Order: sequence, then structure tokens, then C-alpha cells
Amino acid sequence: MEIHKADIIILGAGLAGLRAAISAAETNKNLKIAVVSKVFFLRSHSTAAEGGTAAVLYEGDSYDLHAYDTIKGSDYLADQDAVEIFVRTMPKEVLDLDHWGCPWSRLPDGRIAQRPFGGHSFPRATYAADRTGFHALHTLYERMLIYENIERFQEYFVTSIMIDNGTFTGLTAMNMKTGEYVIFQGKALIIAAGGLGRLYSFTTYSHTVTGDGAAMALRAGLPLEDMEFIQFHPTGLVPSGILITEGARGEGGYLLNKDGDRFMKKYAPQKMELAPRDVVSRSIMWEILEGRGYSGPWGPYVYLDLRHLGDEKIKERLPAIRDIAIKFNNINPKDEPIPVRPAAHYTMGGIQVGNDTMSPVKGIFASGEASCVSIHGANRLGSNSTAECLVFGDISGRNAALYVEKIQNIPDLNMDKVKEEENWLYKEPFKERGSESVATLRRELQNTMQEKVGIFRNEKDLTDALKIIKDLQKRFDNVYVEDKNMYYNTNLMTYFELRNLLEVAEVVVLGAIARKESRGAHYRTDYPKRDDVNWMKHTIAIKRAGKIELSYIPVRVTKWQPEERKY
Amino acid sequence: MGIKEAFKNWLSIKGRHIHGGIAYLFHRLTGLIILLYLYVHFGALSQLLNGGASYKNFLTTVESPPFVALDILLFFVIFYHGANGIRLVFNEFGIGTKKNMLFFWVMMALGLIGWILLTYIVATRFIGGG
Amino acid sequence: MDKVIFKIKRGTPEEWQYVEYEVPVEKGTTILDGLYYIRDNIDHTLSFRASCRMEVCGSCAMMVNNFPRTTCSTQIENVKPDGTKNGIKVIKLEPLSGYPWIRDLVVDFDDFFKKHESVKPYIIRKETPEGQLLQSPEQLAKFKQLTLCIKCGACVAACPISNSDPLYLGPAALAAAYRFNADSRDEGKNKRLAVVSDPEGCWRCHFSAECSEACPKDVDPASAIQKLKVQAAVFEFKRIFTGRKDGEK
Repeated sequence: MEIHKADIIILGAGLAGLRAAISAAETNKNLKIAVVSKVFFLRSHSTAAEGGTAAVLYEGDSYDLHAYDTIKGSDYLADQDAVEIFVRTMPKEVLDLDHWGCPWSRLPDGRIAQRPFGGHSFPRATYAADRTGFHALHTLYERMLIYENIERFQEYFVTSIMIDNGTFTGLTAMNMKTGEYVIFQGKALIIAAGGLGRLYSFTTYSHTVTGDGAAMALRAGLPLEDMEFIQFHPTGLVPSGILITEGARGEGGYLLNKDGDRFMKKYAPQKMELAPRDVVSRSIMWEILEGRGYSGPWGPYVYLDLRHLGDEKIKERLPAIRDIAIKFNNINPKDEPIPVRPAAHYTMGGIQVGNDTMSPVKGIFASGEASCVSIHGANRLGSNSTAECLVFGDISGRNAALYVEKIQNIPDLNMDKVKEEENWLYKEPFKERGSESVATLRRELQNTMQEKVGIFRNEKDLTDALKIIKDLQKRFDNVYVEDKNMYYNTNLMTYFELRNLLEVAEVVVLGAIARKESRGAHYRTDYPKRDDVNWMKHTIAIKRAGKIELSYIPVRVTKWQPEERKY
Repeated sequence: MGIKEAFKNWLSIKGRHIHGGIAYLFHRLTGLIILLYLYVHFGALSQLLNGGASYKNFLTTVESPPFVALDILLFFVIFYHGANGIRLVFNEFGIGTKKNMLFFWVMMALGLIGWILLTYIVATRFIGGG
Repeated sequence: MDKVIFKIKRGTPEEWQYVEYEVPVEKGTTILDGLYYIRDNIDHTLSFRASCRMEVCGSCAMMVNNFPRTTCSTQIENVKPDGTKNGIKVIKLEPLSGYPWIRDLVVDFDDFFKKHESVKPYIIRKETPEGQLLQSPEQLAKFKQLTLCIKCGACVAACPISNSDPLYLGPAALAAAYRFNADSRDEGKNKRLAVVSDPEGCWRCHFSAECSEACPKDVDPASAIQKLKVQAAVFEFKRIFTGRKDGEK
């Protein structure tokens, strides 16, 4: 058994996790910080972010404008004081990345370049070609190497969060290389474990995004907020689901239906293709449902047309998109339009935290996609997610450092619980029973979520989905891990991941059933209107005695009153 | 990695390119051959220690066609090593690295031409004519 | 539907064998799709690394017919077969060569990342700057291509030197060193050169340029290393004449 002790443990090493690590290490050089991830840090899903990161940098733009765009985009579910903190901190984060070596794209005079993005009324998406997340993540990783007080634990699969007397005490994990049982003890934990997009079958997410952070938090009794809001990105490449950045439309790309029409003029006459993602995704689906989409062997799609941009602009501004189209679909975007369809892309909800990123449990912080501060409300604007990871990663790292400075000793672990977890991890998955496989169950779960908890939702589909998920949770008892070799046992990993997915799926569906209105990404065909009187509130889900309980808390409004969303 | 495996990997041409890993391997092997030849050459020169007559006698042996044929093979090795070596000198100063494959084949062509010319001269002098 | 046979090197260094699996192929099916197909439908115990499936995370590089490739971006129909069996195309998959092998298609990357770290791959500045550090598009173009490295490790697996000398820093780390040396915002060039101008650093490179052939992102580490050699040569010269180890004035 490996035992590691640290002042701050950071779970997850994407943008938020690494930003938090750097921030904590800078706040106090004497703290011992452990970053734990189930993948090598550079493999985190943040690396797949493409288009840009929103920040107010230049004249003509203002914090209020960015905040207003974000809040309007959120369909007025964002907490407005949090959004104000967010927009004001963001420019500093862009500059920090600049100083640390991020290869931002540049204007001819050498300043950092920005481009238009969906739902933003100013071109404020700061970009590094169309690989912004990739460059930002690599820059943070490289910067992190400077700090000697950051210890790296790569390919450690964390299985549970230990909480005693309302205080964080440690993590249990498995070293995937050796299969050894590992315990992390610490004074504070920052959960930055990302989203849960692999709930869906057609998704832009990496295979490794399986809601581990949210599921572990749920098991540990932490509250999850607004989990029913799942963003669908309008342009997932058909058939693979690979993300085609919103930057493609920001640079002037068109969405075309079967008749060659720029159909967005019907749905968002002013913003056209650059309306927020929930609007564009729904518009595409409406076109498809009304028979104006193309149909192919891999399902319906519409076209994203970049031909009029010209080869040169595509190569300069959208090199990764060009690469992806050529390598995966054998299409050169200068000659042919790209087939796209909305794909699951982002989890607006997450672990409930305050503006200081602290959760209700002492010593546990959360940031990035795993958390819900909430600045995205019911729908996130493009280029606000990498930004959120930077801002709240930074804040969580600093606050965690200030928090642990006040604590003398690392709290003791409850060894009974540690033993119990070890028993479960090393015995339960391997007990031979039934003949169900991880893959079948996961496929059924993903198809259910895709069909019944997708862009358009209704009471019947959602209750059906809940029934199926409950059934799958029971059938999970029949699944076992065939692979007995403990060296890099991916069979076992997928087993843990499926367990996590099944747990969070239930929360998503329960929240969606309860919310009887349409807001942002949550669109109920049986309640197609937003209902500010009854539903301008956040959903909170807590697991008590194996049952998920929902409650609600009000939205914090400062100066922007709800109005109708028109684009 | 053990020494045996390292040596096996060093000799491997699987999955490698002619203008890349294979050229590199040949460069080293030809280098070794040239080094070996150098010792043989010193050995030959040291025949002089036994007096001029003995050396002349030795020369007539090595100027016989079988030895000349071996010489021509040796020229091949030297021309390869030289032509590729010139490319590497440029490459390692950062020149022509992007058009590495073209550079390699141009040098090979030059080397081949040089080798054919020399072979012709030597063959006419020692075997055919003269 | 077409089929292809994956011949996969499976097991651990102590005990291993080649195992064959039949995989259905459609237009556009990648090798990674095939691996997932095997794990989901034929043999759950197959172990391999993968994540983003869009050639940006760098997880899934392995030897495909003796050549290192990121499998997510390699379409099966574009691969020249290693042979045929009963008229079906065979593709041979092995773990990356030149790395300590853990199991199946998984190798140990610890040393790779340690070497990357050792060249100080980050901006070094004497003072923290205020505001933006201006950089013209031309200055950016000098190193932009090198920033595309996804650390998949294919270059190291292709390199004949890395494959026979475990101490050699390797193409990925050396290219990273040059990337920062060429960045106009950086002031730590000499610190990096002190590391790489070592017998096991850039001088161990003999320019077989296999790294650039293998790189899925066209980073061209081979060219970068040669440019690094020029910098290192100048640096060594200064070191001799100034007598200072760090080569600073």
C-alpha cells in the first residue's frame, strides 16, 4: 500500500487542476501539493478545447458587456456576482499565460489577437490558432514544472473521497501501472476532475471523461448543482463526434441545410450562426426533424461550409479543423463542406461551490467543469469554459492554500473505511457472476441518454430513461472484470468508470424530470417556455442513504433582470 | 534496455526509411569498413619495412584483377560514406533539413556518378587496357 | 463489410505472444476504433491507452507495422498491410519501441516526461513582466510549429539512437528546448543550452531524421535539433573563452 501525504491534493490535471496547483504553489512555497490524475497530465480533456478563451482586453469591450453576454447566454440562471468576479479576473489570466509562454495568435503589431464567438457581442475570444485549450494546457503543465513543491501522480485512478466529521481527510486510489492500493492524506482537496460527457453516445468528449469527480462527490455526500443542464455543441463532426470549433463560425463559416439555405436566419436573424450554442443546436435539430437535413449511414447531419473563407484563411486560423477534416473524413474544407450534428459537449452543472470555490464540506474545493459556481447557468457561452477553468482554478488554488495555512496537522483517516474500500476494490469487481459486460451496459446507457435526455426532452422520455438507468444500475451487479492481471488493467478502469457514469446519469435525469420549464440547454417540449416565477432557481442534488434528494436555492441577481432572449 | 536489445535495435531496419534510419545505419557500417580498411592499408604499407623489392612484389599481387575488384567495392563504400557524409555536415548545420529526402538522393546520385567514373578509370588502367 | 486482422503483441515482458483478432472495417475506421471494437466485443482484457481520439492528447501512439503512429488518426485503409492471411489484410500492432514495456500496448512514459522536464521547457525571465509581452506574427512563426508537439512519443520510438541509447535525451525533449530558445519572450536560452550541449544531448543526434517522419503533427524535431546544435556550438565556444559554465557574460 502506497501512502502519500500532502497539504493540498488536487484531483484532476486539466486546465483548472494545473492552474490551481500553480496558484497554490505561488501563494505559499512551503506547502506540499499533490496533483493526482488518472491520465498523464497532458492527456486531460482540456487539451481538446479549440476556439478561444474569453477575456476583456481591448477598448470597445467592457466587463459589464462580457458579464451581460454571459448572463443572457446563461438564460438568467447564472449567479451574477460570480460572473462579475469571473470577467474581472479573466484578463489577468490571459496575461499570465502570455508570460508563461502560451503561443497566442498575434495581431500585426504584436498584441494578442481575438476573434468573434457565439453569443458574445464583442470579438473577445482570445485564441492560439484553433488549439487554444491544447496550448493553454501545455503552457500550464510546463509552468508547473518550475515549482518544486508540486508532486505529480499520473495514472492514479482515484476511487473515493474520504470525509470524517464534515472534514476532508483523504482519497483512496489505485496506481494503474502496478495495480497497488494508494492512499492520499491531506488537509484540503480541490476537485477539478472535469465533466461527464461520455454519458452520451454522440459527443465531443474524450473517452476518459466519465464523471468520476461528480460521482465520487455524490457518494461522499457533496451536493451537485444544476446537473440537468448538458450543453450540446452545434458542430460535432459526423460520424466521430470530434469537435469542430465554434471558431469556424466565428471566422465566418455558414451552416447550410439540404436546400443550401443558411437556415439560422430563421432562428437568430441578427447573430445568425453566432447565436449561443443552445439556440444553434436546437435550430439544427429542428431543420433535421423537419426533413431539411442530409441523411447518411451515420445519421442525419447539416453542412458547415468554410469554402468561401479560402484556403489561406483556413490554414492560418483553423489549421486543426482542416487537419481533422482531412485526417478523419477525407474532406478538404476548402473544397467540400463539413458534415456536422449537435454533440454532447459540456456539463454546466457540477459540485456546488461558492464564489470562493469552497464546497459545503470543510477542506473541499472544486473548480473547472467539475464545479458549479455558477457562471454558466443554463447554457455556457463558447470560450467561457477554458476561461472559467483559469479564473476559478486560480481562485481555488489560492483559497485552498490560505485555508491549509491555518490547519496544523493532516487529519487522521478513518482506517476502517480505508480497509472497506480496499476490500471492495480488490474483491467486488472480480467476483464472477452473470455475463453482462461493461461495454454492453455502457452502450445501452449512452443510447438511452442520447435518445431520451438529449436536446429535446419530455416527461415520458425522461421517466423512461430513469427506469432504464435504474435497471442498468441493478444489472451492473452482474458485471465483472475478466482481466485478473493488475498491471495497467483497463478492464478494471472501465468498470469503475461505468459505475461512476451510472451514478451521475441518475442525477441528470432526476433534475431534468423535476424542472418543468425550458431554459438554456434544458428544453422541454411539454413546457417550451421559460418560467421565471417558479423556476429561476438552482437544482441541488444530494445522495442520502442511497437515495438522491432534490432541493432548490435561489439565483443571485445583481443588476441584470431577466428579459426575453433574442439573438 | 539491455546491451543485446540495444544492439538489435541499432541494427534494425524495420519501419525505417532509406533516406533516414537505413542511411544512418549504412553510414555507420561503411564507417566501420573504412576504419578496418585503414588498418589493412597500414599493414600493406608496412611491407616497405621488408625492403623495396618485396614491396614491388606485393604490389603486383594486389594489382591483379580480383584485388582490383575488391578495391572497386571499397570505392563504393567510400563514395557512399563521403556523399552521405557531406549531406550530414550540411544537415547538422541546419541546412537542407526540410528537403532531407531529396538531398539524400541527389547526393547518392552524385556519389554513384563519381563511383562509376572512378571504376571506369581503374578498370581500364588495371584490367582492360594500359 | 470488409475485415482486417489485428495481430497484437500481448502480455508482459516475462510472458507474451501475438494474438490475432478480426475487426470489421468501414470507410474511415481508424486503428483505435478497431482496438475499441476488440475490447468491447471480443476480448475485454486488451489493454491500451487512448483518450481524445482526435490526435491532440497524445495517448494512443504505438507501433503499427513497425512504424510508430497515433492510432486515432490512422485510418485502416491507409495502412500498408504487414501481410495477408486467408486473403485478409493483417496489421501488426506492438507497444512503442524504445520504452520500458508494461503490458499489452502500454509502455512506461515516466522517463520520457523526465527528459522533457530536464531541458527546462518553460519561459525563463529575470523579472515578472507587466502587461502583454509583444510578439509579432513573424516572431511567433519562428517556433509555432514546434509548439504543436502532443508528447505522443512517436519520435522517440522511431529514433534509432533513442532505441539503442537509453540516456539520450531524445527528439521530443530537444525539440522542446529549441522551441523555448526560439521564443522571443524567453531569456533562459543559456540555461537550456547548458543542459542540451551534453554528449547525451543534442550531440548524440546523428540526423537520421526518423523522428520527423514519425511525427503526426509535422513538428519536425530533426530540423529543430540541428538548429539547436548550431546554438550549442556557439554556446560551447563562449564557454571556452569566458570560462563560465553557464556561458553567460
